[in-house]
Amino acid sequence: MIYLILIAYIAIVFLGSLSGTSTNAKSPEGYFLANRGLGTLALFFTILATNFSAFYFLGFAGAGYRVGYAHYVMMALGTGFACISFYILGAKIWVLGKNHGFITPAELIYHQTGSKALRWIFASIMLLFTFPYLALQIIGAGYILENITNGAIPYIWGTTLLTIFTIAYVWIGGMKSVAKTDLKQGLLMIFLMLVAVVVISNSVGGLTAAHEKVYALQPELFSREGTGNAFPPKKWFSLLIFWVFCIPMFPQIFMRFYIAKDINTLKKSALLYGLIPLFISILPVIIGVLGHLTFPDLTGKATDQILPKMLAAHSPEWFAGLVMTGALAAFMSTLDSQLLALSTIVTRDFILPFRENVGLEQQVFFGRIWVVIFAIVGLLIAAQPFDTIDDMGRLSFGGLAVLFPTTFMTLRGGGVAPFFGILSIIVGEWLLLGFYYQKIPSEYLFGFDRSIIVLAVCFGIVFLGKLFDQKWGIK
Amino acid sequence: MKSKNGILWIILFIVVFLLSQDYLLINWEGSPSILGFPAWIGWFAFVHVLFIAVFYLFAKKYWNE
Repeated sequence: MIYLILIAYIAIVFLGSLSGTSTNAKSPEGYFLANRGLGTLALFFTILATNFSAFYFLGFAGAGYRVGYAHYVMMALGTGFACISFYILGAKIWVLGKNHGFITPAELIYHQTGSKALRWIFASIMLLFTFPYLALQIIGAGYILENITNGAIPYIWGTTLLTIFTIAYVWIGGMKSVAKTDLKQGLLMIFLMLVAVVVISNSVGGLTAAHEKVYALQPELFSREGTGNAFPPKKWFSLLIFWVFCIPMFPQIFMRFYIAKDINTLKKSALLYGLIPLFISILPVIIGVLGHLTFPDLTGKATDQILPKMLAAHSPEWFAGLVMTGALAAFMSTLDSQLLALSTIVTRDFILPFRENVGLEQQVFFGRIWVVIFAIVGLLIAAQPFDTIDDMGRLSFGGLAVLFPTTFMTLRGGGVAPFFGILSIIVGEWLLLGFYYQKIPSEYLFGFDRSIIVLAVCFGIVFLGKLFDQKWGIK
Repeated sequence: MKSKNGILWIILFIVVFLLSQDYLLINWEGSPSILGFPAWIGWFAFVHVLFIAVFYLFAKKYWNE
C-alpha cells in the first residue's frame, strides 16, 4: 500500500509538473528563473514550499516535543515579521533584477559595488551555509522512508532514492517545474497536516482532553518560556527579530524575488507569506506536544522522529503513508530549489566570469551538472548527520543571515565600501562558528541568541565603513 | 516616502514588535484554555494579525516607491 501511494504521488505531482517545461529550460532565464513570469499564487507557494521543509515537518514537531507551544509562536510570528524584508530588500531586488537581467544574488552585489572579491565571498558563503540546510531535506527523507516502510527502506537507501529522484526532475524542468511542483505540494502539505492533527488528536481522546493529559505530565510544554526556560526575554527578542534578516538571504528565496511577474505580485505574496505561518506552523507542534502521551522518553535526535512515530501509532497505515508522502514532497520542494539556486550560483558567479564564451545552452548544461554534484555532497552530509535538525538548520540560517547587513547597505543604505562588506562577512562567520563550536565563551552573548550578536557586529562594521567612506573617502 | 511619514511608520512597526515582547506587560499562566491551548497563544495570534494589518496598509501606500 505504502509503495502504491508513493508511486501514485510521484506520477501525479511531479510528472504533471514537467509537462510543457522543457521549452522553458533552454535559456538561463527560462531554466533558472522561469522567465520572470510567476503570478501571485505560484510565487507565494513556491516561496512557502521552499521555506517549509524538513525543518517544518520534523524540526517543528521535534521542537514542539522538546520545548512546547512557545516554539510555535516564535516561528510563526518570527516568520510573519520576515515579510517586512520582502519590502526592504525584495522589491528593490526585483526592480534591479528586471532592469539588469540578474539571475544570482552575487551578480546584483557585484553590479552595485563593482567588487569581484565581494561577489565571490558573497556567493561562496551562500553555497557553504546552504549545505547543512540542504542536507536536512535528505536526512528527513531517510527518516520518513525508514519509518513508513517499517525499516524495509533503510535510512541510507531512503536518502539516496530521494536525491536521485529530485536530481531527475530538476535536470529536466528547472525553475518552472520546481514552481509548478511547489504549488501542488504546498496545497497538499497544508491539507494533509491539518487532517493528521485531527486524526491523531481524536485517537488520543480529543484535543482538549489530550492537552489536559499532557499538561498533567509536562506543564512546562504550555509555559510561555518553553520547557527548561528555552526562551528567556533576551532570547525571545533575538529569535523574533532574527527571521527578518535570515529568510531573504536564503539563495533560493533571494532568487525568487527576481521571478515575480510584476511588483504587485511580490507585494501580494509578501502579505500571504506574513499571514499563513499563523495557521500552519502550529500543526506539527501540536503533534510534537501530544507525542508525550505515546512516546514519553525520547531525547536528542530521536525527538526529530516524533511526527512519523505518532502517525504510525495513531493512524491507519495508508493515511500515515499519505501524510509522510506529503512530507517527502515538502523536503523535495526545498531540496530542488536549493539545488537549482546553488547550481545557478556556481555557473554564473564562478564559471561565467572566467569563460565568457560559454553559450546560453552551455550555461544550462553546467547548471545541471552542478545540480548532480551538490546533491551528492548533500547526500554525503546526510549519511552522518552532525546535529539535530533544529540545530543544523540554525547553523545554516545564522551563516546566511551574516550576508544581510552588506546586502541592506548595498540596496537601501547608500552603498557599502567593498572592504567593509567583506570584513563584516568574514568576521560574522568567524564569530558564528566560534559560538557554534563553543570556541568563544557563551558569556559574550549576554543572554541573546548568537545570531543576533553576530548580526550586531556585522551591522557595526558596515556602518563604520559608511562613516569612514563619508568622512575620509576610505573604501 | 516623506521622512516624517517614514518615522511614523517605523514607530508603528516598533510598537507592534514591542507587543510581541509580552514579558514587558504580562505574566502568563500556562494552564490549558480553549481546546486545551495555553491562553497566551491568543495574545500572539492577535499581535500577528495586527502586524499583518499594519503591513497591509503600509504596503498599499508605499510598496511601489
